[in-house]
Amino acid sequence: MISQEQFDKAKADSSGKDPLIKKVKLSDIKIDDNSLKTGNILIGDSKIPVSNKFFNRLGQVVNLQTSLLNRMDKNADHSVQTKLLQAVKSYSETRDGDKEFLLIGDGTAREVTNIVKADKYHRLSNETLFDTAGLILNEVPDMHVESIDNSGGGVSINLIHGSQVGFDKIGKDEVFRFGVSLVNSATNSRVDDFFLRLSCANGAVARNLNTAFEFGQGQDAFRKLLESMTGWSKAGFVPRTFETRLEGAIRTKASYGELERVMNSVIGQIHDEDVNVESHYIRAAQQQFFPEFDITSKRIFKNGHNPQFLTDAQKKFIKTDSSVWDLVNELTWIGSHATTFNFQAPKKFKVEGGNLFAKSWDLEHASLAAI
Amino acid sequence: MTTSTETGVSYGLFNGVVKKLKDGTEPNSLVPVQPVTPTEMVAEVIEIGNMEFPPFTAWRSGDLIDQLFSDHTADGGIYSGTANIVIGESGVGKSTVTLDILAKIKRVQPEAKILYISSEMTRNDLYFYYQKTPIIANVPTLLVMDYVMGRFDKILEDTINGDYDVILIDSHQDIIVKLADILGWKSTRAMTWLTNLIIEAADKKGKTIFAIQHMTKGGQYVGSTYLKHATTSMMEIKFDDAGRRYVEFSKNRRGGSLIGKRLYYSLVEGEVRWDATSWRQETQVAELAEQERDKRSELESKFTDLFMSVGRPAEVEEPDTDAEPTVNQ
Repeated sequence: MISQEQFDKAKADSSGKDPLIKKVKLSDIKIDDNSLKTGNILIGDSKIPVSNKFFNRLGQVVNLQTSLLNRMDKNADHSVQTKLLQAVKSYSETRDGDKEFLLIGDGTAREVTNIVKADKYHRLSNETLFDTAGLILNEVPDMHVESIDNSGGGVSINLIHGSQVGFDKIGKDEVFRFGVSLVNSATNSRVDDFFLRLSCANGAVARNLNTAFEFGQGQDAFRKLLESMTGWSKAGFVPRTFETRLEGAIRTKASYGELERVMNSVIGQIHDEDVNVESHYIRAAQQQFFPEFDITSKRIFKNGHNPQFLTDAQKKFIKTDSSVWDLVNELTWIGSHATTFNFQAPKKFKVEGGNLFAKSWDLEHASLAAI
Repeated sequence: MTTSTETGVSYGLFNGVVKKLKDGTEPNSLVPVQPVTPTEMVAEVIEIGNMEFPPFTAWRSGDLIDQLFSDHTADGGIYSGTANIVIGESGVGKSTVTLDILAKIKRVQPEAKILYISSEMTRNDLYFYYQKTPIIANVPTLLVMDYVMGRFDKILEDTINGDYDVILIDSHQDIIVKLADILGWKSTRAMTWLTNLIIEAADKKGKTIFAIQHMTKGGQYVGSTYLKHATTSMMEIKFDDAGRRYVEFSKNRRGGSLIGKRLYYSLVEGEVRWDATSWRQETQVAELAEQERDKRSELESKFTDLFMSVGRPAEVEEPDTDAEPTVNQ
């Protein structure tokens, strides 16, 4: 649990670290023949540095295929790329001249990184996100701050309800506390589901399990959140489908593809300046967290296939000894506890664990093949 | 007010809105409006600080609703000299809420002279209504239906201009319909006449007027733009998505900071009970929304300062143009 002091400190640390924004119309943005080369756009008389992804984002908002832009980029067809972007942008100005867009700037990197339709940008400032959490803590009885994640960009404030919910028929360890996670992403603020498995203090964040709440604009957004909170708190924040999902996750075997994706996600966050040390860490993480991957790989070899040449579609059909629930627990444990591996953004594992729990599983209906 | 005797058109200035009025010479006008004697008018320009203002009274019901009426003092209250339109869909409780307010003003400030002008409900209707909401027992009431066989416009005019402080008209639209159907007035003239009567009574005689107005089924206001612009406030009574009832102001010249704030209520034992918890939350929600608006402005200013300040182009270091361009997925 997070104390008031820790909460205040996290708030102070995050405040002011918000993307800078500017409302513009497409016609305000000028791209000259050197813009792509030099990484600049013109707004009025100001030459504004932009990130290397900016022109792709601009292409997207004017409905230009980014794959085409990328292909031109790859083939060094920059003048064509520039002309195409200019032409499609000019066409959009005639069609969407009145639409407003937001340029999103990174104050630290001192460059504009993104452009979005103004009415689609629903991100609260970090300070307001913390104050919204404070409002919920005051208004919803027995609500606590379980953790605050701010690694890897964005901020997530995980709030949890005091009541414990056990699912004895599934297992005596399956006792949970439920709540919500207030999330600030790049362009929006939303509320995800949060649940904590008490036996190992694993926290998981999942989207669209129960809450599916995205902030809109103005007063109504906060009002609707409070109304929803009141509704969710009556059920102790337990998603209606949770028990069924839990039963299914315990019963369903993870596919080789699912196991591989989860493992790659974890080892992908292991880095060290010394390549040998890094590979040592990776092997250690594979053995500690995902021993079933090696076992299944050997089984695949034994059956005359090379796992390296299997397609993703083929990997979906191969059963492992891990259940989906094992993988969820592995991810959420890594996301919730300090390890020797010094992961760059461990909170990502809470989200990945939660999302794996909430999604459809490859072998969910495998038993039907026996009919 | 001036009248051109040649054209039979008069002009009135009501709360800053100039309104053109025809006299009652049209063939279908059964009861003509009395022409106003033309008077010589001389423009008088006065500094606001040197103007004479009447004493203003804030009428209070002793309930939370007072805080939604005005923001000039912590206690709020509905000010004298105001014309307030009350709108809401059928069945939401327009009459119930406003009658409750009237009854409670009388209870808190017994010196207040309150009046309910009922155009829609008959005496019999009122009996059953009173059985359900006994709090309205002390509300002096004028039943328009008792006068529809005669010049009830005169009765209305005399009563509204009479010795009352807080008057509830229920409803504006129904009186217009009666003026048109019974006295044969054109609807637009009836609307302007009644609106002017309300505005004059509020502005010149210092009365507090609540006028109930209807809404379409789609939730749209049905009154005229003139009425909407000339009145002090527009109080809306609505259902939210969960079917709970609330009051909010979409316009309020005595409480601009209160616009859009919701005050929920329910009916308990024949009285309106305002929801203190949701009001507290509403205040916090409004503060958060305001904070977020300020933050957005701050982030926009920072953007301008960082990227668009004068001399910025010179500060930007030009990357090596020979280097590979970078457009990535």
